[in-house]
Amino acid sequence: MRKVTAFLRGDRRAVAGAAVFTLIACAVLLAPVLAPHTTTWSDGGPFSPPSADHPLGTNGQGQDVLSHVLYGGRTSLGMALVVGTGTTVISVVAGLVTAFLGGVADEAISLVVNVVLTIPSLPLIIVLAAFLPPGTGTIVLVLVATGWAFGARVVRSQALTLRRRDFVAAATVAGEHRRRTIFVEIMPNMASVIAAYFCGQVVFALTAGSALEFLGLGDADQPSWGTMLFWAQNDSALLQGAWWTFVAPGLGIALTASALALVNFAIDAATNPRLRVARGAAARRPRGFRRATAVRRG
Amino acid sequence: MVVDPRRFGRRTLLRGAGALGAAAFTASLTGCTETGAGQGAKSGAGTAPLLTVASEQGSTLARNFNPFAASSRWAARFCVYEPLMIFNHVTGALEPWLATGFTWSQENTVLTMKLRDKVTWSDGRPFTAEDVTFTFDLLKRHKGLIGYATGAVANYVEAVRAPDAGTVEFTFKKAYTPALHDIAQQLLVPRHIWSAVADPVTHTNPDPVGTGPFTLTAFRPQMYELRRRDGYWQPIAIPGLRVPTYAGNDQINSALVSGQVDWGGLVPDPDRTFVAKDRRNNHYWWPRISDIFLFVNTTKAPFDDPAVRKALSMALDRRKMVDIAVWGKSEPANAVGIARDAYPGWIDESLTSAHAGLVTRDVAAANAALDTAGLARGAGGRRTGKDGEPASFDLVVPSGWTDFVAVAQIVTQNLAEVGVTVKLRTIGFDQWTSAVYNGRFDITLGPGERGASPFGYFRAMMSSFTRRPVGETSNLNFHRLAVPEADELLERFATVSDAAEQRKIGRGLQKLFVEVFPAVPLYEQPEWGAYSSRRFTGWPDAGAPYAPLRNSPRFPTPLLVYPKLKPVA
Amino acid sequence: MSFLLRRAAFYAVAGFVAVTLNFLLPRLMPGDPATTLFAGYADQLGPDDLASLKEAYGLSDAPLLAQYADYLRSLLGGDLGTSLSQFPTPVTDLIRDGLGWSLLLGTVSVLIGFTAGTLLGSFAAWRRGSRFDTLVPPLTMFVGSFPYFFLALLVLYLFAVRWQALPQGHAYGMDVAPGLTPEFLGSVATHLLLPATTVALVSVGAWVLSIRNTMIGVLDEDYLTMAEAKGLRTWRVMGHYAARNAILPTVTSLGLAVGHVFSGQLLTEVVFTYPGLGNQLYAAVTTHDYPLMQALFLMITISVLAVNFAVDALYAALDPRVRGAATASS
Repeated sequence: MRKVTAFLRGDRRAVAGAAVFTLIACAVLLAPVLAPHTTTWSDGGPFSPPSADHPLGTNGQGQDVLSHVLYGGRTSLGMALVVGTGTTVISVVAGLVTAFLGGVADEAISLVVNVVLTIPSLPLIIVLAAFLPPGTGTIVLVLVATGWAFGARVVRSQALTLRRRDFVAAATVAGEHRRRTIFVEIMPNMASVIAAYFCGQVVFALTAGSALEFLGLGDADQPSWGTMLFWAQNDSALLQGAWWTFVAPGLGIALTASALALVNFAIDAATNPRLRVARGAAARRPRGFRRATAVRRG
Repeated sequence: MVVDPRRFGRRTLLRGAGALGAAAFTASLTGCTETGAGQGAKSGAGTAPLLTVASEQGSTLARNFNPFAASSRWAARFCVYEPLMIFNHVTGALEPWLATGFTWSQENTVLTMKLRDKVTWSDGRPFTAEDVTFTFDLLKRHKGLIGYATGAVANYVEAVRAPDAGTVEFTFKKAYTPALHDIAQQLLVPRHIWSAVADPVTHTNPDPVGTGPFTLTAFRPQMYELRRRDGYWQPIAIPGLRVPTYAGNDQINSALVSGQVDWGGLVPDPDRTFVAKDRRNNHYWWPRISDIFLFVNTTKAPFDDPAVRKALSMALDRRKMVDIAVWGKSEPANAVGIARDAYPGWIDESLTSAHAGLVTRDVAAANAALDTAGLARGAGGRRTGKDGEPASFDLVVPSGWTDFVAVAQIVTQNLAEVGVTVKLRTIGFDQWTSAVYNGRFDITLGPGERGASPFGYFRAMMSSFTRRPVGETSNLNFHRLAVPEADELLERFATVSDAAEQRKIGRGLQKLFVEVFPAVPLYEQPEWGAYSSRRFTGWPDAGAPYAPLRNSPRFPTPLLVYPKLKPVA
Repeated sequence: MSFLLRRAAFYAVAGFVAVTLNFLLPRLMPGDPATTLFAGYADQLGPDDLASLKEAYGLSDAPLLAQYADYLRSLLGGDLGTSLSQFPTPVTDLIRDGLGWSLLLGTVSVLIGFTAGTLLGSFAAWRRGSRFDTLVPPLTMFVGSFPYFFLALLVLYLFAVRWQALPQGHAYGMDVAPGLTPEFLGSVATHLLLPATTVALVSVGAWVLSIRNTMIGVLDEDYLTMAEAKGLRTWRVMGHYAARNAILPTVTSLGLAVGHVFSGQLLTEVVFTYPGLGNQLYAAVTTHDYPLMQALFLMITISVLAVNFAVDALYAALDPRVRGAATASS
C-alpha cells in the first residue's frame, strides 16, 4: 500500500489522473450547488446552443445539459463505483479461495471463471438486461454478475505466485494461521493488483453501464451520462447539429475513464519492473494487468 | 385504448416517432442515408423518378409480403393488396374501393357488397366474389391470421356467400353493424394463389399478387421497389414507389430534410427542423383523430368515484402538455374525449361547451371538488383517503416514451398543487403492458381507441364487452369500468345501420361519458405526416383534406393518395 | 495435440453453458412478450382473439424439461425458431446476412487495430523513454477509454453529418445492386471506413500497450543485446528479432481481444446502423423479439468461441512449447 501511495505521488500521469478524477467526483457531488437547474426544469424549446444561461446548452426537451451532466454523473459514477467494489470484492474472495483451497473447489471455480470469461460479455449483458426490468439496479446486478470472473483469475494467479515466495513460506512454517497469512502476508502484496483491477472495473462498469443505457436498457428517465446519450440519439440531436447534447456526457465518461486509466497505467508501469525480475512468470502476469487495465470495456 | 405498435421500439417511439411505423414490429433498423447519392429515386430504367416513401425501419428487410402477418412489409398492407372499402378518417366517409357500395338487410343481419367491375389481379386473372369469400374463409379457418376482420369473423359473422360473381353477402349471427368497417377494410387475397398455400400463418409470400396499383419489381434487404402495373382499375400517374429502410428517426429525418424522401411520417418540431429548410417544398399536415388520456384504475379507491376523476381533471394544465408533447401543434381535449378531426359531425357541441369546465384548469374548483369527495387535507396539505390514511399513487408510463414522461411530469406537478401525491414511475414496456393490461396499476397514460366510428371508442371506455376483472388481460379497457347504460346504448347502436340514428345514440353515449367520466381526456394526438412537393404534387393537406397524410396509419388510406399524385414535369 | 483436444473440450463446455443459459433466460424472467407483441392490434382484436393468436404463434406453455428437449433437438437441426418481430421469417434467415457483415467489420477493424498497434507499440518500446513513448501510448489509451458508442457518435457527427464526407450508415449504397462490381465493392468499402476506424481507434491503445510491454521484456533479452552488439541494423533487429518474439504472447490476447472487439463492435454497428449482428441484437431488444435475441446471443457466443479456438490452434502452431503441454492461458 505504501508503495502505491508513494508512486502515486511520484508519477505525473497518476497525479494528473487522480486530480481529474477527484475534480469530476467533486463536481458531481456538488451537483445541487453547481447545477443551474433541476433535472426536470425545462424551457420548453429544444436544443438551445451553449450560452450564458446554459453553459452547455439545452437538450431535446429544453432541459439544461450542464445540470444533467452534473446530476447524471452521480448516477453514472455511483453505479460504476458500486459495480467496481462489488466485482472486486467477489474477485478477491473467489481468487483467494481458489488459490488456497485448491482441489475440487479450485477446479470448479476456475472452470466457471473460464467459461464466463469466454462467453462474450456485452451480448450476455445486453440479453440479460433486456430480460430484466430496465433500471439502474438491473444494470448493477448484471455487471456485477458478469464482471467478477476476470479479477478472480488475476487474483488467483497472483496469489499462487506469492504463495511460493519465501516470506509466505516462512510465515507458514512459522505456524501462522492460514487466514492471517492470507490477510497479513498476501493481501498487502497484492494491493497494487487489486487497486489496478478496481480501477479497471470502475472504467468497465462506467462504459458498459453507459452502453446499456445508451441502448435504452437503463431507466431512460433517470438522468445519467448513458441516458443522456440515449436521448441525444433519440431526439435526433446529431441531425439537428446539437453536438453539445452528446459531447458533454460522452466527455464525462471519457474523461473519467481516462483519468482512471492513467492511474492504472501508472500502477502498471510501477509494478512492471518488479514483475520483470521474476522471469518465467512475466509472460503470464503482465497480461493480467493489461487485461485489467486496457482491454475490458463495453 | 390501443397501444400503437409503432411505439414499440423505444428509439422509434420517442415522441410518437411512430409515424414511421407500419414497421410495426419490424422496427429492426438501419439506415441507408446516402450522402449526396441517390437523390430520391434513381429508378433503374430511369426516366421518371419513383416516389420514395419512408415507411420501413430495420437493418435488413425480410421478404415477407403476407398481408395477414403482424410484421409483413409495409407495401403488403398499403400498396399491393386492397380492401372492399376504405374508411377515410379525415372526411368520415367510407370510400368505395373494390366494392362500389353496400346495403344492409331489414334487420341489419345481412350485409351485401357490390363489387367493382373489371378489377384484375396483378397476374391478369379477374377479381371475383369468390376471392372475397375465400379470404374470409381463410380468416375463419386459421386463427393466427391478423386482419381488420379477424375479430368480426371470429365473433359475429356466420357465413359469407357469393350469390353471383359481382356480389358478396355477409350473414351475421345477430345484428352487429359496426362490423361493416372491419369487413370493408379487410385486405383481400386471390383464391387461385392462396388456396395452394399450406399454412397461411407462416407463409412469407415473397412474390405478392394483389389488386393494387403497384407490383413488386425489385427486392433487396435494404430497399424494395414497386412499379405501376398495367390493368389497374383506375388511372395512376406516378410510375412507382421506392421503399428504403431506415435505421431510425435520425436517418429518416435526415433523408427528408435533404430531399431524398418524398413522403415521411413524424418530423419532430417540424416548423424548425423541416419546413424552414425548404419553405416551398417541405410541408407537413397533422390532422387529429384521437386523444391521449389519463387512465385511473377504477377498481381502486378513490378512483372509483366519478367526482374524484372529474376533480383531478380540473387540476391539469393541458395547454402545457400540448406545448411540450407535440410542439404546440394540437389542442387540449374536449370533455367527451373525441378529437375534433375524428368522426366529423359526431361531437355534441352543446355538451362539450356545457362541460368545458371539466377539462379546463381551475385549481380552486379542483380543490373544492376533492374536499367534497371526502379527500381531506392532512399533514403538509397532502390529502388523505376517505379512511384518513395519507394517499399516494403511482403513475406508471413506459420508460423512454418522452412525450408521455413529459406529460406525466406535468400531471404529478399539477396534482401536487391540489394536494394529491403522485409518484411518477417509468417502467419497461413489457412491464407496463403486463401491469396495465391486467389492472395492476394506479394511474397511467394511454391513447384512446380509434376505430372507424365512435362505437369502438365508447365500447373500450365503458362497456362490459371490454371490461375484465383485475388479473385478466384486457387490452382495451385499462381502467376497468363498465356501466349498464353504456352496454344498452352500444347494443342498440350495433343493431341499427342508419347513420342519423347511430349519431343520436352517439350523443347518448357522450352524455354518459361526461357523467361517468371513465377516463380523463388530456389532449388531441396528431396523425404525423410530412411530404415534399419537389418531385410530386397533389398531396392531401389542410388545403385539400381528401385523405389522411400518414403513410402508415392503421387503415389502408395511402391507397386513397396514390391516384391523386402527379409527378412534377 | 492433447492441448488442442483439451481446449476443444473446454469450448464445448462453454458452448453448452451458453446454450443452456440461452434457454433458461427468457423462461426465468418476468414479463410476457406475447402480450406485448400483440399490444398494437388491440382495436382489431378482442381479449379472446388475443389468446388464440398467442397459440397460433407458438407462444404457449409446456413443461420446462420438455421445452428444453425440444429446444436442443431443434438446435441440432439448425432451427433457431421464428422471429417474432419479422414473423414468420425464420431467425436463421435474418442472422445469415448479419453474420457476414459482422465478420467483415470485425476482421477489418481487428486487422487495422492490430497492425497500427503493433507498429506504434514496437516503436514506443524501441524508443523507450523518448517523447514518442511518453506521448503515444497514453494518447492511444486516452482514446481507448472512450466508450465505443461515444467515439462512434463523434465520428459519425463530424464525418457524415457535419462534413457529409462519408455515408451515415448501412453497409452499401441504397441504389447499388449487390454483386461483384467495382461500384458495389467501392460502396462497401466507403461504408466500412467509419465504423471500422472507430473500432480500431478504441482498440489500438490496448494493442500498443500490450506490444510495448512484451517488447520491452523481449528487448532486454540477451540475444538482442547480442544482435545489436554484432552491429545488425536497427530496423532489422527491431523487426526481425524483437517484434517477432513480442508478437507471440500477443497472439493469445488476440483471441481474448476478439471477444471484446466484438462487443465494442456491437455498439458501433448500432450507431452506424451497420447491418451486422450487433444491430440486429439491438433491434431484437427494442422490438422484444426474444427468439431473435437468443439466436443472436448464441451465434455471437459460438463465433467468439470458434475464434478463440482458432487462436489457440495458431498459438500451438507458433509455439512448439504449448503443444502437448499444459496451457499457460488458463
